[in-house]
Amino acid sequence: MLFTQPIFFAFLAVVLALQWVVLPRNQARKVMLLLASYVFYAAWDVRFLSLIILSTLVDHVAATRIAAADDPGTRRRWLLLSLVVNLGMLGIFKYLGFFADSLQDLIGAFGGEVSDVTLNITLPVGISFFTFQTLSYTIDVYRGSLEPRKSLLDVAVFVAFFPQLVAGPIVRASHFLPQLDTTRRLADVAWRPALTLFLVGFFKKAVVADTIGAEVDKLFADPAAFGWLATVGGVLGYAVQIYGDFSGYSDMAIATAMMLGYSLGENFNFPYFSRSIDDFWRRWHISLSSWLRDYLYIPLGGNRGSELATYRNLLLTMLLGGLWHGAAWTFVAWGALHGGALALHRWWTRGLGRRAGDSPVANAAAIAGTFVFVVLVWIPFRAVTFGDMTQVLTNLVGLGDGAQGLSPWLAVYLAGAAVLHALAYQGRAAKLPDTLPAPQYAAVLGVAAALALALRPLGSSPFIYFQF
Amino acid sequence: MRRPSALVVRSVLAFAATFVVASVAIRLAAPPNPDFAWHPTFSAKVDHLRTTTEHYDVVFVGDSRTYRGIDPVVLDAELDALGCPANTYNLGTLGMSKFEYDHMMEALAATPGGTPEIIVNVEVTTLLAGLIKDFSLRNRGHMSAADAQEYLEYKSNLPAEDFGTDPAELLDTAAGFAVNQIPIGAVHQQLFEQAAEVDESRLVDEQQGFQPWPEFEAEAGPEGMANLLATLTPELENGGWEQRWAEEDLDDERLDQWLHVLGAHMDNVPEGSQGVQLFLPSFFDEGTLADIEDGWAAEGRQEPIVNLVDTDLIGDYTDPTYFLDFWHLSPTGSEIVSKAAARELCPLIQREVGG
Repeated sequence: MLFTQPIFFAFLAVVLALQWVVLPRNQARKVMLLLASYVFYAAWDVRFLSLIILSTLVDHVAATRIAAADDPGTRRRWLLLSLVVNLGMLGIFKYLGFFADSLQDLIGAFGGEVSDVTLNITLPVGISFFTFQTLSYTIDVYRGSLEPRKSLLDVAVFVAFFPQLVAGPIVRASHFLPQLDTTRRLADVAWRPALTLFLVGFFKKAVVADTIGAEVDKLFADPAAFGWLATVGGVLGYAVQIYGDFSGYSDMAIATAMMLGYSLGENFNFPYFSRSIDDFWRRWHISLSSWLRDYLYIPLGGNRGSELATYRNLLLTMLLGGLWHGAAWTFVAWGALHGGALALHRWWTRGLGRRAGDSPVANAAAIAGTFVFVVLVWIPFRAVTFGDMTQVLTNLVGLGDGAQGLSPWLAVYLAGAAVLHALAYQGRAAKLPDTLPAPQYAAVLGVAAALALALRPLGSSPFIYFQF
Repeated sequence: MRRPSALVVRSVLAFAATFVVASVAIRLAAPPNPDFAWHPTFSAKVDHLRTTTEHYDVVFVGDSRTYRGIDPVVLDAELDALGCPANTYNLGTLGMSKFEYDHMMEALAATPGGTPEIIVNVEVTTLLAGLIKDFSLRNRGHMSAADAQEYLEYKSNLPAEDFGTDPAELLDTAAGFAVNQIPIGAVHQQLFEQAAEVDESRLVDEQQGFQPWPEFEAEAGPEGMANLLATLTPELENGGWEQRWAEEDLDDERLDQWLHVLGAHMDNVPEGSQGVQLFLPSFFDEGTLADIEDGWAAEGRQEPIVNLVDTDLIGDYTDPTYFLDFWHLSPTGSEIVSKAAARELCPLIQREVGG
């Protein structure tokens, strides 16, 4: 069940009706939201619902026992159980096949012989998201920054809340759980921002990302066949596609939660307008980057040690961040490049004391430089093999032999996306609906919805981040 | 329960009104491309017919059961061996609405290679299903406002004694039209060439329009294949055939509907071509098909029927190894059926094509 499919709209209409019309009591609403979330997940694969339930039960018990124990050893053991269960599930379902294949390749490279065993393990959708989310709960309780919940229902709703279950944002327990304490009021729902945000997210995903993605797929399926211009278009196209796809999903998730009376927090803040790579990671997939900062980078030592140790921590954090995105060495390479860039940026600004100026020209140059770096580093992220990555880079420097082109409409879509994005960045795009009376706003929304449906491709493409 | 305020009601109505008006306007401005039904194979095959100079003697028209069931390479080899050589083509596509069928017939009538001598209509279960239940994905490609007049004319010309005027059916038709006015993909389809996704050479040079097993396997994926094969045998072992046939058992009204639909499509076979009606296993049992054949003759239809649901022709037509699921043949079934079709068609080919 994708946010862009008609079935989801029917599902959402039922859930909204139950939330706001049928069920007045908070407890009944939470039960309904939990059941709805399980139905939402089971629509993909009912088998893996058991993983979510297991994770919920383990973390509920672990958090309760951690809080109840005075002995540091006992507390550590319960935390360890939570880590082992959650990271164990992630390891088995996401990384076991990858590491087994890599080991086989390594032994083979040194002339060893191993039996060719291929592990066909299905990746449960959203496992990277809900395991990280639930881990934050037990870790926060262990650190003493959060009281554990007595109610298993609350923890279960927090882990499974359907708007963010399969592709984030990765919500912190300290942000979400208190919202379950009070009965949400219909009068408090900001319907207009929620509906606008949902439509914007739908447009980003179904119109921009899916349309551009079809052209990008052609390039990355056979990069040797394409010429320089098509490669530039395809590489830029992927940058737009992944942003539209993922931030579109986040927008729809946040908007859906808003309609139900809950807040999920921000996940994207115009990352392609970042002035540095450091700035980029404060704006791109904010819920993951802040999770990595709080639960990985800081425990590793953060910037509390020597400069060299800080660079190491940055690199390690981003390497693991890369691996979080997918079990492939291309993702590790992507993480390494970002980690290296973060370390370099720190050395440049802190070590050498250099900073970009504040003039408009310096500002534009900083934004352009960061954008070019991020776009180029998307290449290993998107390429299936290092061979494909090398071919795309070869095409980019004009040494490729291919001559094939992509649809000329790609340029129009890229230009249109850039203009709309710039307008939104300057805060102009959403002002018109805000000033209109409700019926006129609804009328504008009706036309916009029809246009968005007409501009989207037939059929629905899965969200890129579902596979992570 | 809360009552919605007047402002909410006005807003919802405003949304609905502008959405409907904008949708219909977009549908009228950007009508569906009739070359693109709901699967690109359809448009690739229509494109091929419009441009090819190759002459096909025999063309099989049908849905996925034909696309995956009649193998022209096997069939032509068998025809050669029988001394009645012919060049055949598989015009099967996934799904088949009345509009798609008519569109294919128009393309066949005008193909530069010359209209085939024999057109074999394989029974298409969705033709009747799509007719009765208009709210069907398989009709989406053609159910635009622009098609409304043609479609309503067709519906109104259906014999009332067979199809009746069930209010629920009319409501279903209205709902189907309404839903299909939502212009999903309407502008996108005008901008991007969908048909390019299909490798035409595969459909033309290599398999003569047939979808071979490995390609289907690749489409279904390992998990999909495993699921299909795992569910087939238990389904058949537990009285699956009898249950399915009982579901399709024709009462008099349903039999008349089938006869009308089959006859109407046979009437669309282009001038100069001999129409043939072919039945593949396993949608009907022998008894039901005997009723259809009797009805066909009683209506005075002259077009020959090739009924392959016959133990004498293909052996045990309930053999699970013949099938992938209840509707679709396996490679084994496809080979047996294609050879049997060749044997049955050989005398007609000798008469119509020569050789």
